[in-house]
Amino acid sequence: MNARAKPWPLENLRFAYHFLGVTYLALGLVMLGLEALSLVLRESPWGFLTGAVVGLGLGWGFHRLGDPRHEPGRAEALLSVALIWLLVPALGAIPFWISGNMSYLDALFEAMSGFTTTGATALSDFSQFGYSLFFWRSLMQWFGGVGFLVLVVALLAHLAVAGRQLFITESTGVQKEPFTPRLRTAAQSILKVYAALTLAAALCYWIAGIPPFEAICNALTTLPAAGFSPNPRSFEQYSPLAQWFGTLFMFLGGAGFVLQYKLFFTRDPRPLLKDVELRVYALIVLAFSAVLAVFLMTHHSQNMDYTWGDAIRHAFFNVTSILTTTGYASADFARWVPAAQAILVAAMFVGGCAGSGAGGIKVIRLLVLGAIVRRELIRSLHPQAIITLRLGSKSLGEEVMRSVAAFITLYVTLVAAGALLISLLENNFVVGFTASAQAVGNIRPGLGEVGPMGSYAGLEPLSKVILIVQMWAGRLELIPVFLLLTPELWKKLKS
Amino acid sequence: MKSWPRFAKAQSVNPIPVATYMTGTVYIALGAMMGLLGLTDWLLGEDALGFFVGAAVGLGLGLVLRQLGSPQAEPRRAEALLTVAGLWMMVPILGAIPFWISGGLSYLDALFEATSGFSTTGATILANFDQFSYGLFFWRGLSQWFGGMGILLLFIVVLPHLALAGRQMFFAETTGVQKQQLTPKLRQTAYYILRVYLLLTLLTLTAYLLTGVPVFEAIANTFSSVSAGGFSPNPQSFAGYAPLTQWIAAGVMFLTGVNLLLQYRAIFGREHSAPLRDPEFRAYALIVLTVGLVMAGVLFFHHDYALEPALRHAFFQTTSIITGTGFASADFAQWVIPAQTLLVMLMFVGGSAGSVGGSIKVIRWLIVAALVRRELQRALHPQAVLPLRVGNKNIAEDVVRSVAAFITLYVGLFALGALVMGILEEDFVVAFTASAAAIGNVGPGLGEVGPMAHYGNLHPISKAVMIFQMWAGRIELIAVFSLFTPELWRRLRA
Repeated sequence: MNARAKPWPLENLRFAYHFLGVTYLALGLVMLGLEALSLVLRESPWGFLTGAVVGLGLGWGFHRLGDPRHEPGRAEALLSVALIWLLVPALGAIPFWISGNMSYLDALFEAMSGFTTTGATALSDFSQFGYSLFFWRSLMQWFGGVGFLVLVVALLAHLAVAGRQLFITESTGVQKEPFTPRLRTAAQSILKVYAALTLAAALCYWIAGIPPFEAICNALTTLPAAGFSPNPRSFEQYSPLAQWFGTLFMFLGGAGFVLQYKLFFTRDPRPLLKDVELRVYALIVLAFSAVLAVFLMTHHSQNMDYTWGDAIRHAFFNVTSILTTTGYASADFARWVPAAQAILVAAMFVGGCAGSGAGGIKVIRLLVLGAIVRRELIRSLHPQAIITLRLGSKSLGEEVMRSVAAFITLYVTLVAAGALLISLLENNFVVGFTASAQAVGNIRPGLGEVGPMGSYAGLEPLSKVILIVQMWAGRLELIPVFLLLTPELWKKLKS
Repeated sequence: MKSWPRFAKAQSVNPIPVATYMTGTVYIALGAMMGLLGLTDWLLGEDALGFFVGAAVGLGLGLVLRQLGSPQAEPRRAEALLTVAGLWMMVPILGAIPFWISGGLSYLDALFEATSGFSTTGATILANFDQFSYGLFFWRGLSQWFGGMGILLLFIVVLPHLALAGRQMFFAETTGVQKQQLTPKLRQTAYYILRVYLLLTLLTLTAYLLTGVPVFEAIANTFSSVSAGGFSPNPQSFAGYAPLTQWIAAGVMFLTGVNLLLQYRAIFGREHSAPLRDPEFRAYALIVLTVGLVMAGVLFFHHDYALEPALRHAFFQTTSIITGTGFASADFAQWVIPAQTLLVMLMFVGGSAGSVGGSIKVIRWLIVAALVRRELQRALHPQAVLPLRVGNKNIAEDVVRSVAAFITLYVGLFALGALVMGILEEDFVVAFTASAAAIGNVGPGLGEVGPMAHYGNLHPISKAVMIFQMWAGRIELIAVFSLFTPELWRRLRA
């Protein structure tokens, strides 16, 4: 054994350190900028200052330990991704903690909810935060969306994790137009659409009457399908036009950016229309919204009498919001009749399209699952049949099916375990179940106390810890976080 | 028997001869049974009209159907599936008649009760236990006893013979084909099952009688104990019985969740340690132990239970719900949320394969866990060829696929049922637990449909949904869902 070799935490994780270092440095700089902003606005700058100092300091330290030339193996790459999504919120929580009058746990909850694009808040009182903190909150979500789209989508597809290798090739529609499959180009095009739509959303919100600051913050959290709003009533108090714009941009945010890029730049709508996932996604939105609109008209919730226009608007808004895992609310649906709520709870388990910032199981995985079930039914009649699974025009390999099956199992298990534990802690099954489901799906609202106009502030500390872990795991599509629990990963890292 | 000319013609154009024949035969048997019960009931001075009508319909229809059909040794798969699915619905349709005519129930309610009986669910529509005579309670319990026997024969004998859904896999393991050749002949296997089932029935009855359960209740409860059914002629279920009775019942219920062939090997085959070597049994026992202890802890600290009652009620309810029996030694709808949550989760676990327990079953969870473990390993080593193992046995890929499909269908049907009932009943707890209890053939839910309550006040459509779920859940979905594929009907016409 080489006597000069450093112990493994230093030697084998050079890429991870470098990556983390660069991220922390970048965040530190951003927080410096926000500190300046908070000084200008005469709000407390100490949080941002501390954060900037810690970020720049630790960032420089990690950067020194790291080596940008070091090629990471699979284990290290997955570990890096998992760590980033834990350590960035750890740093980003500092302003909330110091300047936002929150405990560190609550601040970490808020920051994790931000970076994972969940949107669940631990704020009990919205006057705790100044403009700069609200802006930071929304910015974290925008960055989280970018980070997820570029890093995780590219990396996980490259590493063929959770069946993702299917999704990139699927949404680039390799058949018709040789849209260059190189991931870097795909990442750039995603970013362009993402930024363009954010700008468009901000403008539309402002035109529809939302105050400028709220318009900007909301736009920053619409496209990553995130959901933080500086307005404690979410979208409830905005004009109907603003709510319809919200629905539109949430829908686009959940639809996957690669296809949209193709639409804008090649002006050919056919790949978009032929995409199976997009069609099913649109159909689900339509179907759920229609049924919900009917319930809202026929069942009168407490003091909420809707006209047909209202019902349709609220149905589409909230269904799109939950389905894309954004989490805005145009009405306090915690007060709706259970029938209406049931539709939304069902939507929590679907999710958006694969090439977007939406969370949840994702439409395409449910389609794969449906194909698996269909095949088994046929084989129960015809056991010798060799049936290739097809999705649209693409055939699915066995590995994709196994990955999807394992993913859905882990997803449901994590939700169930969280639901059990949180129900125990909070002594309330509805809160436990919905809080758990929304956390793993990165959605935002549950029902009851943690409903759309409520807050997670009143939960037990341990419940918040569980939710933090669920938000973390859910954003990264479970595998990277679950791998941290396996001895195999650590063995590979040490070798 | 001379067949009339028109029967002969009908026979030759009948596309489903086996299904018709089997249904006919079973109807005749049921009809005869109802006739006997009717006679006994009449001699006892009770209202026996329902039984006589049921007997008449059963015998009459049975004879006709039997004539229209013809037995075949090797039916086509499509027809075999149709027969299985069909029987499990046709039987309650007939068996509901006594409840309807003599029990003062609407036909829908009677069908609910009968389906709940033959599917060994144990969910009841009865608000007032005085509606039913002794005869009807006996018939109710008997339907569960028969249901249990039928399902055992189906799972252990018929379906592996059809090599359906990889089931031959489960039983190759538990018949220990490697070690001791339990002869694979169907008739032999059926005989083994019946031996264990009858032995358990006798032992349970004796134990109940010895611990002070009134005679009639002991008999009826025995029928629904060994079948993991859960009907009791006592409206308080097991809450009114002695502690010793409750402990014995917990033990019996535990056994109902163990693979019957494994029990055969342990008892009659003298392989006493066979269960301990079986990975499914070990997992099952571990789950019961762990959940039981945790629940006992919750009861001890949150309610005013002393130590022994806490343990007793915890283990009673744990074994009751995990095997889908559904007896209650206490009104657990009044327990704290943590305890109730544990029970609801148990509804999704189930017993062992090859037992009368319902729901998803422990072995499927073991396979799923192995699948997940392997996928995590492949995230690190994508090129590795890693076999899936449970215990020391390799699981074939098509078994894994059918397990994945099964669980998906199960959860999907559960979710759909919960959604529909949530809308109709406007009560989330009722919808969720009723759906889970129906598809898992458990019996009681929580809230308004708790163990000391009943399903009588549900919307008619909710009852219909639950009937469908009880049916589908008992025969493990595939047979029912294949009825909805055009493929099956195409094959039958060919």
